[in-house]
Amino acid sequence: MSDRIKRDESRHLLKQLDQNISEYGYEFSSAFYSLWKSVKMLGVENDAVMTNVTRLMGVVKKLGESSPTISFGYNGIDVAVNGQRLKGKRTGADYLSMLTQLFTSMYIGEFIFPGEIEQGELINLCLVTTSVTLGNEGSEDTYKRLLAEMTEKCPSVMLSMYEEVEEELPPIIDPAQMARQVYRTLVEEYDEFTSKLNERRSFNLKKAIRAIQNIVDLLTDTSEESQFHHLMTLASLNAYKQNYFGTHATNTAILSMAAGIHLKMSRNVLVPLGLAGYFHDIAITEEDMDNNDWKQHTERGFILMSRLNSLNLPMMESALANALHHKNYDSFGEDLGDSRQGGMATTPLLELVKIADYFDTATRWWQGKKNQPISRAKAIKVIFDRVAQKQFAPAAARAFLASVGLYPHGSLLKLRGEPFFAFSTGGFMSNYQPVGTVVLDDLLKPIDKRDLYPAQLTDVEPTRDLRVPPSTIAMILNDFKIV
Amino acid sequence: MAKSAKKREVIEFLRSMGDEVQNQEELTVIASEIILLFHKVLKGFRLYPMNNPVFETYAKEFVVNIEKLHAHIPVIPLRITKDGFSFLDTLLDGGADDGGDGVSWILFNDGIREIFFQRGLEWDEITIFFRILAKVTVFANEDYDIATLLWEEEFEHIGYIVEEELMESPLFDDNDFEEVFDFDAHSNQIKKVLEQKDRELNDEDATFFEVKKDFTILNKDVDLYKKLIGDHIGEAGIVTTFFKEIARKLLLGSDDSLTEDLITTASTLWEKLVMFGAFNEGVLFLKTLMAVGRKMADNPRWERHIDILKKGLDKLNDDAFIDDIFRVAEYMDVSEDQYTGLGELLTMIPSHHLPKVLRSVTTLSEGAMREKALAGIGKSLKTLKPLMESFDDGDWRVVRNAVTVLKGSTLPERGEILRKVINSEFEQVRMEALSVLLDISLDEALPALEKSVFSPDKGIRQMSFHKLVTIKGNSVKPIINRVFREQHILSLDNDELLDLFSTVMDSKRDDLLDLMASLLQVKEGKVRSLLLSYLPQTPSVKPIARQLMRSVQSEWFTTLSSQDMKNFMKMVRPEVFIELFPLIERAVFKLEGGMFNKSDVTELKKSVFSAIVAYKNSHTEAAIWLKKATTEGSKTTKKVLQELGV
Repeated sequence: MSDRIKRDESRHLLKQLDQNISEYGYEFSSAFYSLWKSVKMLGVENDAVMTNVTRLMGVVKKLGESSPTISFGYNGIDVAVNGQRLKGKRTGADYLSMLTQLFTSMYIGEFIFPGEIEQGELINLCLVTTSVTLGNEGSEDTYKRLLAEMTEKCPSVMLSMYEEVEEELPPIIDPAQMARQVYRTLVEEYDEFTSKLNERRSFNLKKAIRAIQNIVDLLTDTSEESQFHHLMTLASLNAYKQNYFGTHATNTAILSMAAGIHLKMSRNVLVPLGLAGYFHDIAITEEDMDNNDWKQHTERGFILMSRLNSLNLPMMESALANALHHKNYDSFGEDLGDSRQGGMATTPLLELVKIADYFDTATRWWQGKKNQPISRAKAIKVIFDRVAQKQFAPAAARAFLASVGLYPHGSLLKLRGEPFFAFSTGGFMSNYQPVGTVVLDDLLKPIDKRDLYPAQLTDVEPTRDLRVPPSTIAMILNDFKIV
Repeated sequence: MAKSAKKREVIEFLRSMGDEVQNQEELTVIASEIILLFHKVLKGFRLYPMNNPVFETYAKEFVVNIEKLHAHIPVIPLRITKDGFSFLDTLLDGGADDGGDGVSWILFNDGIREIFFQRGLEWDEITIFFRILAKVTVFANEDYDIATLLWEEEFEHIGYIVEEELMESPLFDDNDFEEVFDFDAHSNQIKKVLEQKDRELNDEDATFFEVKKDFTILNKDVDLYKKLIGDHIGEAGIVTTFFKEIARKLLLGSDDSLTEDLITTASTLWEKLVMFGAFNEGVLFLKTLMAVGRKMADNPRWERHIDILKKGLDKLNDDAFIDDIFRVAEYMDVSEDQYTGLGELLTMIPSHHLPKVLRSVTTLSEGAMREKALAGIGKSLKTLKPLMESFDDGDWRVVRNAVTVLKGSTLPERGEILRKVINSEFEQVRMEALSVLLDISLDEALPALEKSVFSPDKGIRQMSFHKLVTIKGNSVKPIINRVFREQHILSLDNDELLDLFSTVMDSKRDDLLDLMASLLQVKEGKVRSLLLSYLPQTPSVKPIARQLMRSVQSEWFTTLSSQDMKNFMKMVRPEVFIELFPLIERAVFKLEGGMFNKSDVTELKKSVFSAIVAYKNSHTEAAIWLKKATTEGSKTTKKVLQELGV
């Protein structure tokens, strides 16, 4: 082992992200349990209850100084306040084991309430939950009952259901399932990241990092189990579960990483690239979209991401991704007036994110917006026009084309001379190589798969109404399974 | 085979393995030992620095136990549950009740469900694995967990299963992609497209399908990215870009809530930078914050921002934080270019903490770091009052540090302080004071320097001599003369003598070289021998010609050993040949046996003649003598010349 500790392994010197939790987390739990117990045993009209709620309110106020909302729950192992574990077997902390029992009996995973919660609502929260007997096994029904009561009596408190941890290990899923899973995770988690960021709450990056790492594994696997085209086709989706922003973030991440792979980037560089792609628009709002304001979200995103920064390189890259991904241009081709610079206007990783961001934005339609998406093949041509205008870096553009091909994944095409359409799942790199392509009928339903040359196909300009139906997308994506 | 397929194969093997393993009980005991080791390692990280040898002991124990298991099974699987580790369906001792901070809890919480060690496990893999455990437990980090860190290392022989790999992800259905869809408009559009005539392929299409040269990814693109990423991922790249962006936004900020966020970030960021040993960057941030603070100072709208700023800067007044700075400087792998930053940072600490700072500087083992740190402080002091307490400290290192601070200061009162300190009971303090005083007043420093040159302490003597030699002018000559007196020279050991010689040689001062060469006359043969082994390194022997001539005429010259004579003859160079040759001829050439041991004479002559022969073509004296020697020389002379091929 080296004689000196390396820079990122400081001993006893890293501070908790929120010092308030380490100072007040235990006090909060203890105060909460005291209040709950006093309400259960003595009823609400009691001095002890008032003393305990005053104590609890005091701690809530202190926690609220650094976090506008407070989450309090049990993750199957430990009680946690704002996501940070309170060590479960601390000596003398009987209240923690009691709280563990309480959460499992209530079948509640987590309470979330605002830092400015009223005293009365805290008492009501305890009152509602005292109907549960400590130690009794809870169930989904218990949770539902409590949820209904809580919604009525404690409107500012949110609940989530407890999730039991499995004992037996099921089989490991195949790569196609993993591809679906990571895509879903990234899209679905996005809203939580956005809201926590805007609320200035710390968020747990591990999930995002792990999903990105899994994508790197799947994209770089060149065996017969490769999920490259599966993921790239997923990255052509307009909106998974109507989550436009989450889908855009995930698509940008995947597209950036795919280009990075063609530049032979190592896996440890692909991860910050993927994270930068994922978080690049984390601060964008509907209002920004409505106002076509491309500056506001870049500034806000950088500032809010920097706030979370733990001084690791991926997060710095992600913060910079926010600040710089519109350098030289906006998503719809308007020059933002920055002086044109050749080569790398931003960082080498962000040049890939810029292109991926542009490509995904230009080829999709946004619900409620009047923009007309362009075809994917056309978007490729536009990218190279912008290279000539020095808005995009040439090497980045070439890497991007190498990953998506002439008719990128998700392209809706027409077979020349035939009344059929085709859906590209990628691989068109030259006129001389045919590629297995899904052929669609006149209802855009899949009928078979054929090896086709690019010259046998023609581009179709997408419109808001001329899009591949959901059932077709589902069938094509589900076809990417291990046989 | 794909990595994922290989992993699935290993897992299937693990799951079927339980039924087939012999000696399961015995193996379970060994597996328990391994778990106990994990706990010991974690405990160790809480108690000791990472370079403590105890971790190597743990790693060796780990290897021993792993090898014992690998002798029976090729893969060692450890299941992780809420209750602890289990091995082949047996819950292991030390797994269940581990105090809540144990390895199994941490692994489980991080989503690891199984970890396995394959045959061929390497030492590096073990040490890195232990460090990962330390990172996520002792050095809690919000952004990383064991799974992400294990992934980064891509171990060959350590595998793991995370919960995501066990969570089925069902096939997609239509609802996943359902969006607002006007089916009539949709079918109309399709009809339109089908009715349209297909566009004719043109040259542009052909070119496009060809994938134009400009569009094809090139090796130079890959090379370019490799270089750019190398520069970017280094600290000078992305970190600098990031900080510049923050600084820029800070200076352009307004009184809105976003700027408030930015100030909060910057106010803690400089602290984090310092805690990572990035002192230069931390200081840059501090200065930026101070500049922003000055900008805001007069405007009441910025009140809240100023409060946040002040709170952030107040850390410099915090004793515990000051201690942490020194802990980072000592235990982190701080590069040399950060030393100046450390010095600057220390100058930003309010001066009433100076005695504490000076005491803490003594804990820095790296001399260059201490020097830079202290010099920086000296420059920033507007008065020396905060320093005074330190001169009375009982620890000589603190007093010495206080003296080093004076080096950086230009305040006039430092002279007076130095005159007092120069008589300190601590020799090292006197030396340091001397070194500073030399910059101020040579006259005041010289007596003290002379005393130190003859100090009973070898280190002090050497340091003093080094300083002495650098002083120009004649005032130091008497002192140096005394240094080279035989009595003093004979009291020094070989190391110190060689140091003396090399110092004089490096000084490139002819007068000192001549003085040193006079030591050839010293009675003690060992000293002469040592000097002769060193003196030939001098670039020119002209300055010591006088001493060489004197040596040849000395009685001891012909008694030199063969090696010493060889060394001497190396100094018979063209620039002094004419003066030396006649003297050498007289001293050596007529030597014969008789009184002398014949073999000694032969060897001596060999050494001398072989040097002379080199001059036979350039110097007529040499040529004439050689001719004469071969005909009229003594037996020994002729024999030697014959052997030399003359």
